[in-house]
Amino acid sequence: MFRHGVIGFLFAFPVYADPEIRYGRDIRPILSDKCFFCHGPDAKTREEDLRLDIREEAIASKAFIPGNPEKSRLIKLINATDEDDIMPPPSSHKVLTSKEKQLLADWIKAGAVYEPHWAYSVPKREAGRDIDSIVARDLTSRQLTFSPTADAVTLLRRLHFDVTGLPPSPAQVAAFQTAYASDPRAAVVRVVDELLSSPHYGERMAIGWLDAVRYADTAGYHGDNDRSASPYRDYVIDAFNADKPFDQFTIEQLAGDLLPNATLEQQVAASYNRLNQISKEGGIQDAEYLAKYQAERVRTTASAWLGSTLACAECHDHKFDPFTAKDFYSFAAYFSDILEKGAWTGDGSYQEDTAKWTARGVVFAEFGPILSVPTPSQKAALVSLEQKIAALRQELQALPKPEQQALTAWVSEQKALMASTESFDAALLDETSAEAATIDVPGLTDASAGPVQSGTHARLQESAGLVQHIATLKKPYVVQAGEECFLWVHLDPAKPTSAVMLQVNVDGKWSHRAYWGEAVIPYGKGEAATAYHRAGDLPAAGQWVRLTVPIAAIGLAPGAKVGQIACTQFGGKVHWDNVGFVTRDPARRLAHLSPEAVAALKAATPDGEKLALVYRESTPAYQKIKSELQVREKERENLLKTAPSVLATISATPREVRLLNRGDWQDKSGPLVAPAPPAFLSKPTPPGEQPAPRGTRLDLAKWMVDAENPLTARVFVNRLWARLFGVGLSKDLGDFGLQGEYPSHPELLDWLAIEFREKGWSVKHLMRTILLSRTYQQSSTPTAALAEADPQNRWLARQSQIRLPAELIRDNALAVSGLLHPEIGGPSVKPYQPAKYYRHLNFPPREYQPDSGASLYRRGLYTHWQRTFLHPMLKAFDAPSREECTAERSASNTPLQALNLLNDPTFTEAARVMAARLLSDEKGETDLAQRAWVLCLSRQPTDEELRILTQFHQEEMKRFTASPADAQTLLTVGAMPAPKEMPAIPLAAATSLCRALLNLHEAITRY
Amino acid sequence: MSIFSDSNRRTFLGQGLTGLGTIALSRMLGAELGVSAGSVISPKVKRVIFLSMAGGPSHLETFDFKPKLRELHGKPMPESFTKGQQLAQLQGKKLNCFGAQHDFSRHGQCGMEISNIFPNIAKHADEIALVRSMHTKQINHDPAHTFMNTGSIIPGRASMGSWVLYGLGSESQSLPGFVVLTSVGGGQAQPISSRQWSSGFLPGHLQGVEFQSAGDPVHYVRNPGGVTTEAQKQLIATVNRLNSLSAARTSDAEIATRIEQYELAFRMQSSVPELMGYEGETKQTFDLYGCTPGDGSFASNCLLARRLAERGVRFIQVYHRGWDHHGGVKNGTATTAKLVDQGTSALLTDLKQRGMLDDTLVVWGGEFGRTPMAQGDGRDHHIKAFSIFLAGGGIKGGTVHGETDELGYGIAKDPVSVHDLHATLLHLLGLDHQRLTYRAQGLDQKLTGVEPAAVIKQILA
Repeated sequence: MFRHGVIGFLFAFPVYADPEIRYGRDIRPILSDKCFFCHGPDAKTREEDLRLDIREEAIASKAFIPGNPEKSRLIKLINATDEDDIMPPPSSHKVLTSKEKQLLADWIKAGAVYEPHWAYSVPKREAGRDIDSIVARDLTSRQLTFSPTADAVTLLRRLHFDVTGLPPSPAQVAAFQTAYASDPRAAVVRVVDELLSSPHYGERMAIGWLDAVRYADTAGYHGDNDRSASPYRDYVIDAFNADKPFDQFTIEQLAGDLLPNATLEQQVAASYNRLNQISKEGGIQDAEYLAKYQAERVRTTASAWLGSTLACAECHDHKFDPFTAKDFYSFAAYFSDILEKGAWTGDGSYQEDTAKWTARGVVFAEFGPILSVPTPSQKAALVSLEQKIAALRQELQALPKPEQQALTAWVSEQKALMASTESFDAALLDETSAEAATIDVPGLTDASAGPVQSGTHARLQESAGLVQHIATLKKPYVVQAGEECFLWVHLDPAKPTSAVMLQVNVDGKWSHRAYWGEAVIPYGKGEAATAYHRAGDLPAAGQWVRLTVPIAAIGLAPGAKVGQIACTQFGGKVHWDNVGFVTRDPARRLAHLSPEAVAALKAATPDGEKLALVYRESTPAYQKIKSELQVREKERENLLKTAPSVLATISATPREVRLLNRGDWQDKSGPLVAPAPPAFLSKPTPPGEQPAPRGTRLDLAKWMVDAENPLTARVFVNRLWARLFGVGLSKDLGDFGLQGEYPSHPELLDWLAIEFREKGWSVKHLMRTILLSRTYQQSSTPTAALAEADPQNRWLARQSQIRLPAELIRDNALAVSGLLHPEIGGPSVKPYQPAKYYRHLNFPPREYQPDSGASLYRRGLYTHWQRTFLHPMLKAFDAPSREECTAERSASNTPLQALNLLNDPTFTEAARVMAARLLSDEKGETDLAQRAWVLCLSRQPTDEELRILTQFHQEEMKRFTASPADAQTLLTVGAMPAPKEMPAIPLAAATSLCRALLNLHEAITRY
Repeated sequence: MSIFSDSNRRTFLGQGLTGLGTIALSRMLGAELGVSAGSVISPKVKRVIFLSMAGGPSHLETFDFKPKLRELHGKPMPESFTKGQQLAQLQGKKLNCFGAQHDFSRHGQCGMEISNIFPNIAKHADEIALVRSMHTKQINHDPAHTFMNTGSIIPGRASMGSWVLYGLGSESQSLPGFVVLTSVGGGQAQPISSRQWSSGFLPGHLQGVEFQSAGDPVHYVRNPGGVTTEAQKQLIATVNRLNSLSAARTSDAEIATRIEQYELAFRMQSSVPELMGYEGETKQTFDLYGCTPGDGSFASNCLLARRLAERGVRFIQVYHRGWDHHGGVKNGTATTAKLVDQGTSALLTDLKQRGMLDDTLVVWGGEFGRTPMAQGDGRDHHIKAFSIFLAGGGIKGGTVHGETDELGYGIAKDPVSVHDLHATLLHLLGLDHQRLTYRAQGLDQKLTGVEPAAVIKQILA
């Protein structure tokens, strides 16, 4: 059916605007696909010593005679009937169509002219042309014209999704419509400029780039462990927002660390080199994984920047393109300076001793050197902390030396303590304790908030019923014979408690308890007497009282190891402070002294200086500053540890890189290679000139963005075009080689590439130029004839209809509902995800913990990118795992997508919040369906659409009225609570209405 | 944008929930045929159940008995075997022979030698073709799985289930055509990546869909709370009616497919719970498999695989993660074997008694084998030789193909590569591995890659 349709329309629309045979467009694709495998660049698979990719050689081998197809062997063999003669041979499973045979004959008749491969020659352009004139000329030759301009609303939505990725608000739509009515051109220019300067522009642009450079939040291989990389993602967003020239952008990512006085930003950019998948699977070999990493870097770099399938040359010379295996390994050699291991298991090793890097302050973590990148708020906190730390150190220095008299008194006091055999209170739960315990429930009160018995803080515990806090000791307290437990409580006379209890945990078991007051605390009740020992009545209220209980009374035997202590009360308000054991233990008696102080005190010949020093350290003034200093230092350390980081690219001694025969990492027989760009794309060193020093990543980057490099600019503009038109000018976004597609509009591709480069590699300029073109602004609705003849819209007689990428589908739902938290950048976030989705992960096993609060409502591109188990919503809508470079996402249409939009709590919650937003408007229920429609789709619904939606809404009202419990249940989906004051039934019905809208194809498509 | 947009470019206005033709249904479920896959081979089977024994079962304790290795137990491994060879965790360590930790017996008319840890599988000796000469390229789990599943060590290629679906489409009208099930137990559970059932460069709807035994069996298959089946149906009807209007307005051909997907999604919402509810299964069946339905065990997954097969699912991959026995290989293999033996056997019996074994291919095997050398009291990864077996339509039962050397280290006869296995699998489905191609990254990609691959003719009936 379809084929006939095409033939029918061929008369109306010629397939090619240019009827002449062109080698690159018409002939080479045939030869490349059907002949080059055996008669092409790879000498190892070449048959009959014939190559057809070079004209002179083909003629020399008598493959054909230009101008004389009848006498040409090639023509004879492709038309042969004998199975032994026919080309291509049946075993290749390649067949030439009669049209292809005719083309080959016609081409030879016309002189068999070759031309260089379009993508490998430097782009050139005619003066005075622009996008529209090139497209228009092509359309005219097909007897076509541009489609009318899209209507204002469609155009505005298209611009929003393409530039910032967020839908326009109803107010923005209204404003644009008004402006557009009076001056369409000015209105569009204004909105384009506004959108291009929005900080969300960088987010939208980043998505495609992050696919290309395989940005993710995890290591990829095997255990797929987390490793921070978000500062790199933010670098990309910032770079697009700042319109960083693409040549600079390229240089910084490949070699930012090698730039003179590299800034932190440039070093972060260079972490591109370490975004590759890495492994710490047990038993892997260092050299094998180094080979994997180097090969992946070649594949990704060549694909991301050059649109070249260099991967094919890992094992052999490329079958179709002029890349050799030597090119592959020479390219790899550029990256061999990166300080890394192959196996991150402990078996791997760096190429050099890392001591020199540690000495320079480089921090090494699980996957090697990292670069900490504190967020602006963390940075501010760090600065303030560092100032505090410096000040505290200063204060310590400035403390006066003790007076001799005080020192002498202190020394004799300490010596007396050392000699003493009296019992004393050894605090376990108090700031004065040498071994701070950790308490399960945070929260202490200081003297300004209530009474404090010892140190600086007490704990206030207040409740109508049972309440307690549990302290876990840093190391177990070993009970000794004859000891007692003690604790201090301060009961509030206004809010009396019924009982207080002390519980002691030994070897993980709670079976030692004493209580004062009534037997109302259930713990231990009915167990052994020592597990529920009544130690007395409640003490007097309104003052600190010290309670004690002998260890025997609660069944603590000498030698028992106390791990935890719990302070429990039933009702009322009680301050607790200073809990511990009454002991005679000499070591504990001196616990307040440092080992140095003990040594100084015990020294046979006392050292006055030393004693003065240790005394000063023991004074409360010193201790107070010291403990504050420790707190601040800990805070600083924690901040640095939790700050986002990237794996650092550090240039170390380059490893040797060999050409690996058949890609075998164990084969050491291949020659060593030096860094070099692919030979056919580089200028040879003129004879007699000094060979250049060893090439670096910086050289590679500069070569990529050299004006002579035919690929980089073309590849980038082609991908941008594909994003804005649904399909590239050359449709294989990842292959500009001979197997790639001859561009539909070669002149336009070159025009754009040159425009890009000549206007300072400005991506914003390129965007603006395309967005303001008539070609871009056309309607995307095809006529029936056009839809049949050019379903993929290769001729550009209209715009394309493009399903939104995964991230934007999420963003749109959050944006129209008002849930979106528009913060830019920062560590990746964890929105809802089905439980147990990570159960196949191991080393270690993982349980996904969704975030809470605003982090649940961030844009899709910030979602935690787990390579082996990408978030199911992102995966369902074709976001790639980013294990390797992805030049182009597929756009599937599957039942899993429908299930996602229908049932994923993110979308249900968004529908409910959207509903609440509409109902809380002063219009309330009035025109609800129509208002919801406009909010979601920007345009007014037709009468028919409104009727269908309203009917559904009414049915849902009826249903929820009949079963209000369903309404209540629906409203509980999602973490954001439904507004309490809003009646449940209308809210639930409006939620259903919004669910329907968010599920529309139009809601996930940019027209 | 759809890769198959050409065939999708037709005007289709949804007619409500009943207005779908079978052709459209089969297409959305993965029935676009591989374009150059002109089927010239007569198919022997319609579907595949691939029992993936993840972790690398020791061939020496399961299907490949080596008396000589027992004889040399504890003695140094002759250097002629191992010199210059790649090992995983044993690299650079002292290498000693480690004899089989379990005894073997002969079974069936054919007298196939099978380890005593498989008393149930052994009963099927005359139905299975045992290949003792498999070899692979990757010595670590993650890349070895990737190679076994996609024929390539580079992530991003299409898995065999996706290839099969691409070649043949699906017969199910309410379930995905490629389903993955998983269980654990008996050994270190090595992680597996969803890459293993990815459609790679093939269209997204051909990817494997994992059915979970815990939580929702398929992500988002359950309605939001407070939404009844009837309400969901009304919602979908509304969405589809509005989408139809939109299709007329925009001439967006993709909408027709979208409408179909919503109808399919709705059917999946009832067919998946029905499937996972094990309705209609008898106590006899549960006893045969030795499982409590839905307990997440391998046996329960085997039963589920049969149910999926009955419902037209084309490729069912059942993972058991539990064969990585670096230490304690004796008890380890015995424990894991106990977890998979009865389920495997029950699956074969059950398929047979339902007449389905004739048009189903069952494959049992891991991603590699294990070393004849000791690693403590366990064995390290080994890629030079391992054993798998196949059963079902087109398979010559009671066959043993290939041999390893006297220590079970290398292959002495008839080596079989992973690509040969793939070629054979496709062949049995009626697909020529040379012709089942897909153009991506400038190449006509194949499951069997660029190196020569051959169908294992000797095991075919």
